[in-house]
Amino acid sequence: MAERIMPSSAGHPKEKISHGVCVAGPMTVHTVDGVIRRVRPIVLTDDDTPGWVIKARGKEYTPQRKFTMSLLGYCEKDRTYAYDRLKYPMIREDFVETPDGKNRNTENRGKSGYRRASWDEALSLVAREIKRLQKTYGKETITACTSSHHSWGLVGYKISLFNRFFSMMGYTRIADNPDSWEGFHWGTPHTYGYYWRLGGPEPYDMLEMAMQNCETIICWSSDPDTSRGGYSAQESALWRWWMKEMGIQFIYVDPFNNYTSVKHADKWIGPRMGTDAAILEAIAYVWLTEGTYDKEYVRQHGHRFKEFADHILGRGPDGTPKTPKWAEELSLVKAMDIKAIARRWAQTPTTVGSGMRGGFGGACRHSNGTEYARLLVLLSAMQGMGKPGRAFWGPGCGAPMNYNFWFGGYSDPLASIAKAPIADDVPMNSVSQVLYRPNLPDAILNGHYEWYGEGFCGGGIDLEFTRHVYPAPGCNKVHCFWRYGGSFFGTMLDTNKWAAMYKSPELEFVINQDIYFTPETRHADVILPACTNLERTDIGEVGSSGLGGYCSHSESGNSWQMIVYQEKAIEPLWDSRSDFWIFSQVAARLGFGERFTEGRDEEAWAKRFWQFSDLPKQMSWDAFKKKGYYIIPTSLKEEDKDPKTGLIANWDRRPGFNWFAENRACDTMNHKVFQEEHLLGTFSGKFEFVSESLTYWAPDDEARRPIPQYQDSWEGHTSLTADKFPYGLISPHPRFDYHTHYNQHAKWLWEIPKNRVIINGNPYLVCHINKETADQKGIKDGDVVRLFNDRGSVLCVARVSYRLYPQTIHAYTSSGIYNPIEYGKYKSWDKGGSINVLTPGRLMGEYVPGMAPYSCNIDVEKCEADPNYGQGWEYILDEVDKQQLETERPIRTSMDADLIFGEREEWIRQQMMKKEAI
Amino acid sequence: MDLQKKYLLRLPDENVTLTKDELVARIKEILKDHPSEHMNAYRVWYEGFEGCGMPGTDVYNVIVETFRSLKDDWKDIGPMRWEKYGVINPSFLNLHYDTASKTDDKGNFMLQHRFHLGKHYQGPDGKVWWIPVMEDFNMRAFERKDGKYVGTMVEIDPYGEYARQMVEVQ
Repeated sequence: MAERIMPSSAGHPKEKISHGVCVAGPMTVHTVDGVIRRVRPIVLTDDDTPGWVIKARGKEYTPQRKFTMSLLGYCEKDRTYAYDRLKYPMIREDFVETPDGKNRNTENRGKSGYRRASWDEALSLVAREIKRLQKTYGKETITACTSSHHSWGLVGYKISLFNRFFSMMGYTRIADNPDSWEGFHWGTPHTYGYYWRLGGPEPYDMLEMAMQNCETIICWSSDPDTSRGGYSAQESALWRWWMKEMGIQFIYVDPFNNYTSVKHADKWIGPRMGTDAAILEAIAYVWLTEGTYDKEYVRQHGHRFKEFADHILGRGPDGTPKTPKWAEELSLVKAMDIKAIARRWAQTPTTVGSGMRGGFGGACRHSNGTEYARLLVLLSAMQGMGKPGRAFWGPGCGAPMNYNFWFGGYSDPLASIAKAPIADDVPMNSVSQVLYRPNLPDAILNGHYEWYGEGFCGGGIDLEFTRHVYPAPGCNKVHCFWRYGGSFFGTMLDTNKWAAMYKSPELEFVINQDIYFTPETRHADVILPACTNLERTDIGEVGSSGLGGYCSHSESGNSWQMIVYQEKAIEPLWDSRSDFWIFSQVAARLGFGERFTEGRDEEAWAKRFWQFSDLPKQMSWDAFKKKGYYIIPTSLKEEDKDPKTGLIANWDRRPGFNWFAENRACDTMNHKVFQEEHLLGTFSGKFEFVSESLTYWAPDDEARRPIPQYQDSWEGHTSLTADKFPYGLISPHPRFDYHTHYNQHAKWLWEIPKNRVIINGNPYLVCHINKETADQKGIKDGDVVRLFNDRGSVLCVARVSYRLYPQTIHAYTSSGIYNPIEYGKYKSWDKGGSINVLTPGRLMGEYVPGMAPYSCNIDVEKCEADPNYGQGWEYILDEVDKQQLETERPIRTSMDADLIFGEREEWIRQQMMKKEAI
Repeated sequence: MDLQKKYLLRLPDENVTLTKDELVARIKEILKDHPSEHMNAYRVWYEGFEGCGMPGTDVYNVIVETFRSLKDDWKDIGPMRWEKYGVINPSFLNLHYDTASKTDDKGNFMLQHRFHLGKHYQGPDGKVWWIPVMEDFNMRAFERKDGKYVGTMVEIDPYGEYARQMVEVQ
């Protein structure tokens, strides 16, 4: 293990520093005697590359010489020593290994206790059950799924390790849905192509473009300070301050006056939920009637614009002019405000941040979300998208980067131990049956499910329209679920349905491999405890210099492109093991252990990522390990540096979409052959104001019409349930969590009053309620309230505020814990803040398999807190802790870490006294 | 009275009526010196004519018929999957693709018209390379030997003589 000793002035003399990287950014990990004492951001040293400099409006801008972490990153120590860490392999105490898989007390999943097991016992049980199930039903009877981003590192990430193991074994794959940007994924490819970017725009060099040319930035349903767009820490926060200081005007459109809006907005507009498309149509109306759109651009690059214009002006089949007054009645945004935005957008170089990459937002996660997303692209086109300052871009990505330097980035299909060239033996899954994640409970509970699409459809528009049936012809149903990392209780919708699924005897065997005792872990038959990132070796990349997997270079939300040697900072705690070790052990028991490992350990696999990249030209493996990280210079050429400052002033600039506006062959990264012929990825190769692909593939699609347009939601202010449940639930991406990976485990987060309020030992989630609504309901700030609808109830603590539209209640999604007051009881009230108990499991439309949490009506009432102390499940782990095995390892707890902290304070005190004495 | 069959083309600005000869002439104009390796009737309709909605069956048939008449230029390769349209039968292969210009009208080099992403190519020195990353400024390859990837990632200058002599191999 490579170690660096801190300079004596910096901390404890025995303090050792290693490097790690997590979803919240890269970090240094400081340990003393094998205990993590703190984590800190990586501060660059003099031998690291100089930064880039953007020259704009008479000033020069360069990033600070450190890599910031998001607040979640600072919780990594707390999370490593979390109270709910899985310490040992465990088996459900009333699980019976019946030879036929029946009568296993599956109805008790979720409330049963566990008994401690040895690794050998747990792994042998898993292997026996897999063999039995495969023999009885075939390989397709086992399904498995990972959470989104529960683990970092190119070896350990899901498309790497998980994919290698299960592809070798053969299993029913569960297709992921693009849950963060559904409307863009299922909508925008039909207006401007870019299906291979999953609906997102090109971010390349857009920061410089905006700083030099932009005068207005509209952040529509976008909160970049809260949700940077992925894994970009807080790097882009500084850029927005730069832009603010140079006089760029920010307009925020969001029912919740979000955190970035509060800081930066010159104007906040809070529309009624789900009416964004109507406002956009009205803006187009203003431009059409006032003649303030880019007519030549539309003539050259638009397809069937006249029909779109007719629809907007009321000459279409519905005969309704989409006037600002029309939109006001729907959205309750004043017509004069709509006109003002329209005129500002037309008169100044304007870019639109959209709730896609660079600041995820929820308007695209509404049943009308595809139409909102398509209109946003088309309106950008009407103002000359790709011309200087006129773009479709979120101000949280697009920093200068060195795209010529290749290193397989996060989720890059080439950067995987399941794929060439990293692996010599590339496994292929032998099972063709597939399931779809949002509707997994429906498939298991009903035994039959049909849907369209392949989940992420980056391989083609046609993939949106492939029809699937479960069980697939000739295949058996699924009877075993191997759940790997994180919890869908809290991220997937209609949570109670998931809980019901686990109780089904159809699932004869449930394995959960995780680091923590999450709500979903508590429903398993066998629990395999994994260790955290900081307890294993890996290699990670921040900045997405490679192809970028989900969508190329999409994570360029960082000021620095950094490759990190993820060094094992401490040994795995308790009996936890690395995921690689766990999969290797099961593979060995199933007879493909050697094939799985190819004779490599985790470090040898990590080295392969270094080997098949441009990094060896810059740094040897040993030097890389010793340093702990490498920062990719924006340009490697000496002549590109500013002679005065030494900063990198020139690099290979290729501003996103500029090629199209300038009628050039595409010169940006990750492009398709037809773009070199100056065509977009639509049927016509142009912006399609009337979508030819929808006309071709789904002419009867009611959710997505060929001309994008506002439609009432199947659950919204006009639906039948609105009388009973009059408030819209706005549940954006969380500020204090990430896919439920932090809020349960890091108690530090509970101390943030905007996040949680602890009452009687339980951390209640904070929800925002408008003052007007609160007064009507007799609710005061700090009261416990029940949010409810027909799908369930969630107890929260009310924060009364003017920061949101009156008919709306705000609570963050994906930050819930799911603590039903009566464990195991269907629809029991949840006191953990799992807001998705309330959201609908219904997909956006028949042909649009996206989930729509923003189409959710609820009611609210004042309530009492649960009188029972704690979260209600801690006793299960306490009971397991009391059990002993003969070969027990020493236990470290967070208390040990705190003691070390105390030790350090004492050491500092002594040093100070010595100084004073001198 | 003109008894010749007319073909109605619904285009963005107007509906156009053409005789078969006129229609065939327009199709041939679109296909002349076309830079793409593969084509199908929908591409001719949407990208060439900028047609609105699905092409009529009669128009579609004339496009296919015209392709087939251009035997020296386009080869019927049967069904092929397209990322936009799904499987289209028939699809056509451009027989002049190898010699077609790989630059656009402004002289920009179109690398992706020369190499296929993910395929193997043999260089003049006999080495077999797998090309997984390819942009007009960034072509990366891994040497393949005895079924394994050896060495490190190698950058090949797409404008260089070595790249020009690389030939596709299975």
